[in-house]
Amino acid sequence: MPRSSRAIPASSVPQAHKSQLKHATRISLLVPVWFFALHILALVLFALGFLLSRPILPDIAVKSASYSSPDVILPRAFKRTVVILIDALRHDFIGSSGDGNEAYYLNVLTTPLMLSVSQPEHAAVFKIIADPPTTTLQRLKALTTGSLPTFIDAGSNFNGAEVTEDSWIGQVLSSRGDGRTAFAGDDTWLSLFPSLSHGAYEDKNLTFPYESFNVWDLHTVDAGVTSHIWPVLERRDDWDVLIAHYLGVDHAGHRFGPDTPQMKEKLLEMDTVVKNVVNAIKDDDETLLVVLGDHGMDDKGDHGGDSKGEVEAGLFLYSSRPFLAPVDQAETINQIDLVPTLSFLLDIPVPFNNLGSPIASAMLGPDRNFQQLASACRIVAEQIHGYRSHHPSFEGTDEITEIYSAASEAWNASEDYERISELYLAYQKQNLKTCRERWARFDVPSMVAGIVVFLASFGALGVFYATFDDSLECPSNYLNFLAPKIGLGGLTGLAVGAGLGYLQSRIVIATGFGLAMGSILGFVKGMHRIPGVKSPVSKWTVLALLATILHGILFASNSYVVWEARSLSFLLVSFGFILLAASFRLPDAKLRATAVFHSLVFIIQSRVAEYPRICREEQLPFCTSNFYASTASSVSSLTALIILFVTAVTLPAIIRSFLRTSASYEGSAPLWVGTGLRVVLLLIGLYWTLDYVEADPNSQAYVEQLKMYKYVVSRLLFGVTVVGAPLAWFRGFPLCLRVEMANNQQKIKQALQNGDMDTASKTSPVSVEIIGFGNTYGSLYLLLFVSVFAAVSLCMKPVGGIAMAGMVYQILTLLELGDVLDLFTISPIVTPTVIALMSTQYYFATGHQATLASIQWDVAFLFTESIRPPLTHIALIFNTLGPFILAGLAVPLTVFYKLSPSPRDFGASEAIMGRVVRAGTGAMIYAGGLALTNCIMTVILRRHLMVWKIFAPRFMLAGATVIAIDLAIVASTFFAGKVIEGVYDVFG
Amino acid sequence: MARIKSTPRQIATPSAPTSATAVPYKPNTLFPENVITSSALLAFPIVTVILSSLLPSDPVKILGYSLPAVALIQAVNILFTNPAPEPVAKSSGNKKKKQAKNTVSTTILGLVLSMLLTPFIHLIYVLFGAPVTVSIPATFLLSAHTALLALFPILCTYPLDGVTWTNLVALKAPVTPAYTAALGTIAGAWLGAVPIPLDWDREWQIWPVTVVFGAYVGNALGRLVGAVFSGKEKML
Repeated sequence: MPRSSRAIPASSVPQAHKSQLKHATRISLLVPVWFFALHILALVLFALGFLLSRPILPDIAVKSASYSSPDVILPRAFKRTVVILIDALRHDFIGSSGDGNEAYYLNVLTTPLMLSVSQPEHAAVFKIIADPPTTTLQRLKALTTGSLPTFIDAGSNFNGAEVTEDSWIGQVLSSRGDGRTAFAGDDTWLSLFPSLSHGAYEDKNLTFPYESFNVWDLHTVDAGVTSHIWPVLERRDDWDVLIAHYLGVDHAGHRFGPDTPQMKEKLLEMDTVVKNVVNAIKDDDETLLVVLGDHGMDDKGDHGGDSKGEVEAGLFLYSSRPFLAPVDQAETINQIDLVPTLSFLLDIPVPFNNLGSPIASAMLGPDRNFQQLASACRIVAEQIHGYRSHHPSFEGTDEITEIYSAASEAWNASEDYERISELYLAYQKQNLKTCRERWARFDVPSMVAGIVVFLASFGALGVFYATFDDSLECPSNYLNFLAPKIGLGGLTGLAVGAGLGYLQSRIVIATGFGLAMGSILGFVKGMHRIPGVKSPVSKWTVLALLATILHGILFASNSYVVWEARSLSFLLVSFGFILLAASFRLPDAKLRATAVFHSLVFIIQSRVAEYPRICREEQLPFCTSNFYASTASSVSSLTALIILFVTAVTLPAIIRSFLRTSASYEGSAPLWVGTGLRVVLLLIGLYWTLDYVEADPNSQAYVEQLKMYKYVVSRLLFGVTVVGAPLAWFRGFPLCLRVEMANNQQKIKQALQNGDMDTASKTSPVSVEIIGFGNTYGSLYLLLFVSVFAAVSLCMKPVGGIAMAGMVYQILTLLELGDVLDLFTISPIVTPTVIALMSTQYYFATGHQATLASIQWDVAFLFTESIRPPLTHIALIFNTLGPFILAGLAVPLTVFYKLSPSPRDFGASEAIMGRVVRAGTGAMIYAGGLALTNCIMTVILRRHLMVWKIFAPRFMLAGATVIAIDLAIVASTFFAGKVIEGVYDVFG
Repeated sequence: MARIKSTPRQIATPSAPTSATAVPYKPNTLFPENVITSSALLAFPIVTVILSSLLPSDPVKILGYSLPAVALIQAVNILFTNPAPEPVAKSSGNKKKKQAKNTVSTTILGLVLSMLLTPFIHLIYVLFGAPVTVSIPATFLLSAHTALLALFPILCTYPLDGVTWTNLVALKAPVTPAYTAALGTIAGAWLGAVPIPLDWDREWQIWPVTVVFGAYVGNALGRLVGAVFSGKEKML
């Protein structure tokens, strides 16, 4: 393409323009950086309220010296305990008599209350308060360890739910011997305590687990449990603890709700069970019966959150031996109080992490012996004190320790056991209160603050996107004007937030909220001064927003979150068909054919991208993993290796074919793409081949050599792709252009002969043709993009590497379509949005799921045998977030692709920078919008049954997505600035 | 209903696709228009109800058995509502008879063509996410039903030439009941996929029941929209 000549205005000073452009590219960076900061603040605010976490201590309790102290008198222990856990047994199911006819669930399970009235020394009903999250797994942990389990129990491993803390189950197993337990019911117990399954007698199994998954099935589990417990109950001497976990009441609640005939039927069945068990142990004063609910249910029968109905569960204690001080019917205790109580009644040490207090009535005994209660309280207080001194999160709680010291002094000084008990109990209650505040409560105001910041930044992004369109001249001047406003607003907000927060003692949240909202208000105030041109909204822009909304709506249902990869493929294929329809509208037949071809390719790519997968638990059995050689291994298959090599050869050829459409496969391109990229991809293939051979049992003899070669290859590649290539790009500035000199003497002569003086005088004797001029920006930036792709690809498993190559191909296809259909100018937001949408699709295609378990931890050892900070982290980040990084980096291509420079036009260069920033905000609108809808759905669904299994991990993925895409946009804006400056240097 | 009196051939002129303005939909001369339209509009809701109540039990069987019936209903509809896309300009003495004959042959041709295009529709369903290796009979029969609902009337109404079909795919063709019914079928089938992933464990969630249902409902609604807005220049 000939270089256009243009008259240079006499007044222009290129050097001044150069520094002006540099300033423009610098100030443009502030936009993505600011929105990134807003998103981070919003995420932190939301996560502070939502993601509860708690560190776990692995210590196991032993009986302290106090047990043998002469002052200590403990209640007589039982030989056997029967625990009947009725899932979701709300307190009013057993504890409320009512008038009779109000609700189906009242006055049905009446045995507990009747017994507690007729034999108050033998039986009692309590209202137990469970701590949120009221989900079975967390409740079972609490009921056995006496602690406050949260979603993330730091210290536990991600793969298994096995309880590593001290628990009364563990204490029973270690003190009475393995196999002294019998179990029937929900198999969650076995994943928490695998050793429960050892219960056996003379080769006769005493463990009968049932799957808890199918909520629609009300009877299978319960019928199974009931049929198994009778024979076990008769063989009293074969076990010390019998656990029976009934699920029917919970399932009836989920399926039909509490106030339904089905619930009544279920509760009647449970009443019969309780009655029969009571009858079975009536003659045995060495057996304790505990009937309880792990949590309650709300009016709709669901649970997981912290409403009254969900946290109030029922507890019923019974023994034919009088062991209780008669209690008031309405006595309310904490659910975890059961743990120290059971510990004393089973004669085992109180679990190390216990935070509960002993139940007074059971410690006092029928003769109301306060020395027994005080002794129990003292032992528990000692245990809690020991725990607190080991635990890092209790610093700065000295006032609680003072209560303990006061109680201990009283114990040593007096025999007023009632007062001593009160002091010890006060200490335990105060401690529990602190723990609750720190670990176990959704902080809804904080979550809402996060959502408000997300919403406001979404609005600000929209305003920015709508205002900074091509009609705005000198965007950098406006940014110069806006930046101090935003900064000042932020500082004001910070100060106001900190001040108000200090008064309300919510300083962290208020400060963050104030900072974010203040800067947005400053932005809004500044925007008033910027001339707004109302340009008509394109149909493509509507489509882009629709895509964001449709993706966001998926978070409203656990099913769509589980099947997100397929849903996204469906959306992308739909978008492909819209592209196809648009292609058919092109008037030019040749362009139409090109567009139709690429649309069809895009459709096929969107479908194929759904194919590589690792199934998550909830997808089974409707899903087969194909990411690895088999579902049980994490070794790639030979087929994958072969395809990886094929990709290594073909992908550079594909990139070449796209560059050739603009004659840009010139200059540095053949070396960079044709040779460099191909060699790197082939070496990645070699690495995985070595890995494959190493995993083969026949090559055991050479493992060490193979390992060495493997690391040589991977480290070499790391150096080339992560360090070398970007450095070479920055220093060398590899333009994909070829300059051709043409002698025009002939042309002039001919023109003169023809008497065409005009042409003759306008044609210069020697002209310069620049091949690839029409894609100067795009080809230059593409080389950097390709090198980052190589770095990301290096950190992917073979199938992941193939998927990433597919992503590059699909991005190029979309870019070509955007060019042919003129999408980049009609609607600068639609291509960035679709690229960002694709990134989530390819996240799944690279063997990931929205679960913590799907993180491919083994790539940590890609470059080294042990964990080495920078290498390990880069490998893990690129492996997990690679698709998002690539998507963010691809966004400037929606401006640069097939864009030719306007020589010596400073204004045009600045306008291009403006367009890059605008495209970046387009992708951020998608990423931020997605995080926003996710947060809203998470707040709404925080009481959903699946909140911890499905929605919380998806929230974490949405957070990681927005961070990765935003950061990649910041980086890509920086690189784009370099490209614009560099091209201006060459052509300016 | 405003209609431009012109022959469908005019569309086939080698002008740029943007200039296509003619409407290939013409008033029926054999029966009063409103009778045909209302009976056609009634037929499909009835079929929809019958099919959707039977489908969950054995989709393949029901879809297979109902296919000839649907083809017959469609053919009858087309015979009575859509004149053949042949030029009516050469109006000779027995014009009516000739036209009727043309309509019959066009309908048969359309039926054959839509059956031939069924594998192509099957492919589109697979691209949208239908299973590749399993449930092939179900997907194929779904495709056959879709072809009868969406393609068959269009094949009988529009001339088979590049420009017309380019406009049809580009959503630029003028509004006719056949065209809106086809678009309605596509939209309905698309929406029909939405409830499939939900974990409600209902028997009607099995493939391809919801899509069949959506296609039929969409077809009926599209037909209704087409009858009301017929003659409007462009879709979008």
